[in-house]
Amino acid sequence: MAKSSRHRDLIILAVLLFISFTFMGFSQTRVTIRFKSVAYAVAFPFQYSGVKSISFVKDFFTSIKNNKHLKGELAATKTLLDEYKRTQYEFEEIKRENERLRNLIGIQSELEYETVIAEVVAKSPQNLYKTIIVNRGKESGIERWMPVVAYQDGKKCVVGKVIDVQIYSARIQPLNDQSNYLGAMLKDTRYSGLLVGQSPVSEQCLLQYIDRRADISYGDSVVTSGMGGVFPKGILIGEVVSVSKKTYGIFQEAQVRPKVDFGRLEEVYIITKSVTEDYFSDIEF
Amino acid sequence: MKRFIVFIIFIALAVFFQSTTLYDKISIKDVAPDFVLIIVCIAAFLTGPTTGQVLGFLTGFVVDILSGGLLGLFAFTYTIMGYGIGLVGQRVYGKNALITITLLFAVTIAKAAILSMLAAIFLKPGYFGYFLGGRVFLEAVMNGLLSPVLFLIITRIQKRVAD
Repeated sequence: MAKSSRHRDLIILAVLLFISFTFMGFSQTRVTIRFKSVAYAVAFPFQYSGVKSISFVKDFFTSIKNNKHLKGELAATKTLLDEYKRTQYEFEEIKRENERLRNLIGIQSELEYETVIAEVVAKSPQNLYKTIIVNRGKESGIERWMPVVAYQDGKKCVVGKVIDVQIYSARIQPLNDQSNYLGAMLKDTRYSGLLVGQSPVSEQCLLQYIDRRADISYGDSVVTSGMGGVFPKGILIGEVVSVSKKTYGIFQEAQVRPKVDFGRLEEVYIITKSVTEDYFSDIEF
Repeated sequence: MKRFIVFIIFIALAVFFQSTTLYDKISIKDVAPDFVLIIVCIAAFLTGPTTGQVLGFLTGFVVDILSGGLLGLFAFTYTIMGYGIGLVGQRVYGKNALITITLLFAVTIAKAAILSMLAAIFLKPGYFGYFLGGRVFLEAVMNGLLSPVLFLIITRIQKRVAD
């Protein structure tokens, strides 16, 4: 009896492992991709409900704790808002003047790209894949491979790109994901390279294939190069934390710490349309 | 059947919790305990290899779908974990905290090794060994220390449900 149940267990194990292995082996086929999308469309409402319930409890206790600070913060925020409104007005004036001058000398001015604001509602439940789920999908005009940015500490920075879209949700692959590749360049020297994610090994990214002649220092800013056609040019990615230059070879590498803090990410901006590119943004007047 | 439902509820709660941003708050050096793994192992330990591997497969499959990664990766890993722990549960006499701590420590290392091997085959060539870094041992310690607490909670609830 015990022997037969052991055989049964082994047969069940073999069948389950075979099914898993088959899924892994055929992961890039259309059938499997479609199956994943459908399965996720079914699972998402449950995940969203569960996550929202837990977030509700968390927010409830947080609001009790923060209640006494709210009045003071509100007054300070109102003051700050008035200041920002004044600054915004001045900025609009300067921008108009800038456009007028650029038109005078015949150079096309930089236009903004259209974005959709999305709220971060969940993330992948494992440390291996740190994908982010947002509450905007096809219904909001989101498509696969659209670039995603966020504003943190007053700066616009790269978050990642959309890799999967459902009707009311989308999944974002962060820029430090192992499967992510991005055209990048050093902001000051303009040397370009290929940015590769290293998660879960490291939270930093690796900037590869930088020309050996590039003079790179700790703290140098890295921005998108616009190559690859996904991200517009000039969006902040992060800062250099270390440089690796071998004694041979024509390239060097740098470790880049992403500017975006994924732990504090609450809202993202999905770029739905790039109106135009500014090919002359690096000309200084 | 009631026991199975209790485990399903706990696993669902763990998956939801690990999907929230609240999960990041309990991490140390970007490493957080894997509650899903702990509960699957406890379930397998208490019920045996048959239920353990089926529960592991279903849980891993759901995690694969929600992760958006390689479908079958965690299904494969958790199936092996469920079967292995179920076998150990059948052979070990007595179920105390020290056993669960040791088991969860070993299982976390094993999970990392299996994922590392599968990543080397299906994701990136040469990825093998990347998972066996310092972060894995920190996760193993966290899982080991949390397991007795969860073990106590689950067994108490199970007993109440059975009564």
